[in-house]
Amino acid sequence: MGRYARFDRLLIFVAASLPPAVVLVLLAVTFWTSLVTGTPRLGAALTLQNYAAVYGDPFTYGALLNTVWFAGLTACVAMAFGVPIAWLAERTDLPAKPLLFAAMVIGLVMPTFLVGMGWVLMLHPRIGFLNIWLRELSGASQITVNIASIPGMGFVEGLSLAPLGFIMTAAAFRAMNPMLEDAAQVHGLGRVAIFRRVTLPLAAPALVAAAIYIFIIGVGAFDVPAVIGLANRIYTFSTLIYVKAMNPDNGVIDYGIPAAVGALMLALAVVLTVWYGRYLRASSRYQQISGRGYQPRLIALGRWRFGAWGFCAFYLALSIGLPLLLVTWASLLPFLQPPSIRALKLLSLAQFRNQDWELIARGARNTAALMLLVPTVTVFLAVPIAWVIVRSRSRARFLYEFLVFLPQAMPAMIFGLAALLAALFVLKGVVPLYGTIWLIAIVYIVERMTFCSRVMNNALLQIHHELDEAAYTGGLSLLDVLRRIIVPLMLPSILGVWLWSALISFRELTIAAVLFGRESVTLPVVVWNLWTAGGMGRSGAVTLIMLGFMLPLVLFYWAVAGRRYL
Amino acid sequence: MRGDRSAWARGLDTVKRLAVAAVGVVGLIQAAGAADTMSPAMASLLAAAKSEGQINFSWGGSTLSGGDGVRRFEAGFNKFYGTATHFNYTPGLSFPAQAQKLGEEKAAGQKAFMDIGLAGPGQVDFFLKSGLLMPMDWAPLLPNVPPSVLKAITSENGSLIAFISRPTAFDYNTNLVPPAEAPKSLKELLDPKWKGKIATTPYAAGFLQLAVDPQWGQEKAIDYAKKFALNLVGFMRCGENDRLTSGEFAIFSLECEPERVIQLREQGAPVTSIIPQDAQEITYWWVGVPKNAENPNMAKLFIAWLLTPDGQTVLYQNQGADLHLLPGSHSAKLFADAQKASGTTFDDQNLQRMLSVNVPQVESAVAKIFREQH
Amino acid sequence: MDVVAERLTKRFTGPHGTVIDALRAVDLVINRGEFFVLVGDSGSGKTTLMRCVAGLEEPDGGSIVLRDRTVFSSAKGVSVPPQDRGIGMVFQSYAIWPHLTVYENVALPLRYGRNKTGKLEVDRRVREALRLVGLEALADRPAPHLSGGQQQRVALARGIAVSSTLLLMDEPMSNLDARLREEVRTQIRAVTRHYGTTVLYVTHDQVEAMSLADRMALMRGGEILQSGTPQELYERSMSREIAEFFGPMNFLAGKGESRDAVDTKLGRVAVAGHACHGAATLGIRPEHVRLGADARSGVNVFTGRIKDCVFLGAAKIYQIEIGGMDFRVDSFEAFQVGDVVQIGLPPDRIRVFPA
Repeated sequence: MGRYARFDRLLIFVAASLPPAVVLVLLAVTFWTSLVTGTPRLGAALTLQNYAAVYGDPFTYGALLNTVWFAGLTACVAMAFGVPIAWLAERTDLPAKPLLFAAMVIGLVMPTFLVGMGWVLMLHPRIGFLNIWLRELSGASQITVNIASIPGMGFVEGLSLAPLGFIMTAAAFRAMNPMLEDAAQVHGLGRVAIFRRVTLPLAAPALVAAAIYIFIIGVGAFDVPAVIGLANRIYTFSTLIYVKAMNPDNGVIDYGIPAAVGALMLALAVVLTVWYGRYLRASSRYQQISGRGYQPRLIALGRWRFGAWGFCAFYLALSIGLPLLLVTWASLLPFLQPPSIRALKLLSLAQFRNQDWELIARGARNTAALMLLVPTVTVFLAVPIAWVIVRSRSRARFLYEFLVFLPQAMPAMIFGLAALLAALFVLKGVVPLYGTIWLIAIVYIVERMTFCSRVMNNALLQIHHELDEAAYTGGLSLLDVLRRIIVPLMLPSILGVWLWSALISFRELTIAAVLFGRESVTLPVVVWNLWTAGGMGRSGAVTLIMLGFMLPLVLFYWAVAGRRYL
Repeated sequence: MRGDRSAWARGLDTVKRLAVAAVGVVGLIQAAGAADTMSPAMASLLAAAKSEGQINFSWGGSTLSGGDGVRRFEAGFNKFYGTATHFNYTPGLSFPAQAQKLGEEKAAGQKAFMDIGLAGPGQVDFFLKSGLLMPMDWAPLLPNVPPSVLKAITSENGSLIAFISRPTAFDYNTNLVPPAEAPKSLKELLDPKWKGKIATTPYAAGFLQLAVDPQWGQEKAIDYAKKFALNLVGFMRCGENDRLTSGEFAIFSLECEPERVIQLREQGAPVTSIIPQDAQEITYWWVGVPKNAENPNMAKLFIAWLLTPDGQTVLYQNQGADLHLLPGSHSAKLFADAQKASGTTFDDQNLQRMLSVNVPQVESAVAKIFREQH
Repeated sequence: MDVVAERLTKRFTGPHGTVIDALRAVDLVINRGEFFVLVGDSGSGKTTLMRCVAGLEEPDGGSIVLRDRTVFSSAKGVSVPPQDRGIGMVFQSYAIWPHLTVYENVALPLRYGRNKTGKLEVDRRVREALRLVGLEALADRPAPHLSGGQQQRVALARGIAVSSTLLLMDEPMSNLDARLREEVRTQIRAVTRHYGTTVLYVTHDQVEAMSLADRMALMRGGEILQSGTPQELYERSMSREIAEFFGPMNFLAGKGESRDAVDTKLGRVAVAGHACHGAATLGIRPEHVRLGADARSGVNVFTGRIKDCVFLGAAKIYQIEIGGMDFRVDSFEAFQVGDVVQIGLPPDRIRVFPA
């Protein structure tokens, strides 16, 4: 190989290796921590004590069962809403689609713990408004829809993740070859039969992949299990780690316990990642590489369009409307109380005025910085990674794919803890990342990369490899090919992925809560701290302010990227 | 003529002289507030602190009134010393988590994220054993604290010093718990009628105090915990008062900061905090300066100020409680009234008492019971 | 000699562990200015061979020399990447970059490739190439707005612009309809003759191959079965397999009697040239079989009956049953189904293959 060609390839591989390297470091730190007691330090004795403590405790298995149950329900609910809405958006002539897209994106940006809190207010067995009204309406005092249960929690988490299911399956529906459905129609299949026997099976691998992805997020979710579950002693893995870590046997919070739990989740993660990868490959095979621009024919809804929008509106009311209403209600009161005449008298804007603006400004600054830095670096690194996985034909590409996807299967908290320990103990002399925004940024990049990489890989798959080869034979180097052919053709995906990462970076809480320092506190962390300290009033007000900042970005998102990205 | 002056005039003279003297004395006393900084120890400390110029705080957003509280501290402190120190505040972690973080940072050779270490009853053991905090001689810095009081509130090497005291208490929602049925003791909370209506903290706050109290003891406390767990519905943290005012939980036992709930009640919230008849203890919070603090001199100066009448006033404004052992304390009145009403003496759970119990063992045992017993 | 490949081998390992020998020690020689066609079914290795010459695949062994420059040698550890080989290439999918115009597509390699050329020179070469393929008027059209045929011509223009000396073409016409193919074929010949380009052309269509090639090679299973001029491959195929590839043929099993005769089921057949001793297969092309009076005037006359007739306008395809076997005969003469006719097999048209 020519000298320069080798250098180009090496450069690409080095760039693509950065996120996997970080993942490996974090995994190593997690494992090491799980094998020592007390704070990890060089020369600490290795022991299996933590594993014994976790796995010897029958409680762990109860939590495991809960976690699987919870994650499964989350995936079901998310897909139950996400798939039909995606189908409506992509394959029918539903009116006002841009509005639907914008609303789904807003749903993504709502902090989950506030949604959880809102649902507690609505469906708490005793004080939930909806339960009270339900009882009054039906006259039966027994009727209670209890949100404080695994099904209730799964429902709430599923609601908040449905936009994710929507985006992932919308892409699959769009990429399908309409000629396959036409063939069915010609042979006499009715609309429903076509959907059941042609559309759905073709989309199936992508749907399953999306469901697995959401399941994995559910396994690691913290917000809803903390807000609803913890208050009712229902534990999933993430909350079990949290409570166990707070009450160690020797007075010092031992990360060994969470790390040992993390190791179990890693095993689960490996299985899920491999399984997910298989479906991913299957789904990409069904996708048409369309150079000819086949437009899927849209199904006319006719009278059904009211029902269809009714369904979408129902979902939006549940996931955005009601929680937003409750957050607004809370932010106008000095302390939280159910709606009543007395409460109405107490409404005021006091919570908005008495804010610690310096703190909010600090949080906003950091969040804004993350929203610019993280997506840019993520996208910049996702291109070489996509090239390595899709084009390089290197035997190592499966390893890259695996390591890049692995973080999505690890709970954010474990990753955050591992990063904390790495920054505290491993990197201290070398790179001073502890308490800085850079540490948060690095972990964010690695986390965002899981989804971004998937999208970019798909985008690159859509680009016929002969387009590259024509450039090579024309004399262009690998870097030139990336710059002049591949990146321009991937631009819609790149833009969409950038905005998506920015949005998620905006609302991310768990990792920021673990890693934040004085100067690197982010806006969601401010909101979370205000909530745990001062109640929904203060934090609700900040949330609304936060959402106010977000609105222009959301509008920009659907205006520019919106459909093209999806 | 000298002798011609009437007794009245002579009396007036005396009064005038006394008045002048009184004004002078008052003036001296006032100046003494600032004159405290004039003692050599204080003077050098002030100079060192000025070169640091700022102080870092980070505790839970409701503790000490969070950011608002810090601003009041800042104003009071700067006024008292005539400085322009910047108080950096980031809302943060619970007490156990803070202690943990300080420990980690020390072990990793990093600077402490905040310049003071806060200890509740559960962290005393940790701080004293870990050697995280600087040994201090507080006497030269706290001339207005009587030596006997000083001895009672500091640890042996002076690394911890108490700054606030409060009773053990539990809260309930006054809408959901009618006055007729209002529980007055911890024993009453075991009544099955409260099943499914009580929340507690995931870190067993308050139960340590029961183990220390000679009326209870470790065994009895754990036994109580087991029975109490049967009525528990779930967890919330101290400070998540919304869950009480909204009625999600009817009762919260045991409370870490009852005075804050009282503040809420005064704002009109349907909550109140009760000192149980069968658990009458005085518990403290302590403070020290981490060895790896970024601004140690400022921290020492702050603590010294915190224990002055000025500092205690601001403290009371922020938290709703102060150190009952200091003259002029509001909390002293609270304890006096409570003790008079019950006719008993509260168990003074100072540092020495806290060390009499295996803290980690009790806390984790109780937390485990709460976690698992249904 | 422009392209010399020696003992090229290439092995692929499939995802489930299956091993495919795509090239088995293949030798290839293409002379300067020659239009060389590699023909064969899919999986024969022809595309792999071309991609090795282009540098898009790296052989496991052997060597490739392009115009006295070694671009690959396993023995010497040389492997020049595609961007440094200076070859033009036209791809099966055309590989027209959709985000660029026609002009930009042809210009890109010249502007940013290995041998960057100045703006003026780029413009000159691009316009010349576009003129040659007749697309000068569409220079500013965005690529996705082109028809299949137009895209193909852009690909050709691009290839020529990059290198007018050596051009590789990978099944460029497989996506075109029949009428366009005719046109494009003519254009390709015109353009390459204009420059005297050496062309390596790959196709699975034997008719296309024969119509374009100066020399060609038939590949199967990673090996070259026979190479030579189209005429050689058609008329003097070395095996039954090769013969069948290039067109329909009638076969007759037999036993070589002597140098000039083979005994078959139909009787003794006279052949010209070396008959092999022992089992042999005789082959004769349908258009060489004589019918009727024409047959009677020659040797190897047999009688049969017309079973079926396909009418193609001027020519007709007859299926004739003789002695229990079916013969296909292409003829201009008119007969009816059911007619009894004589067929004649001219000895110089009969190929003798080993059995």
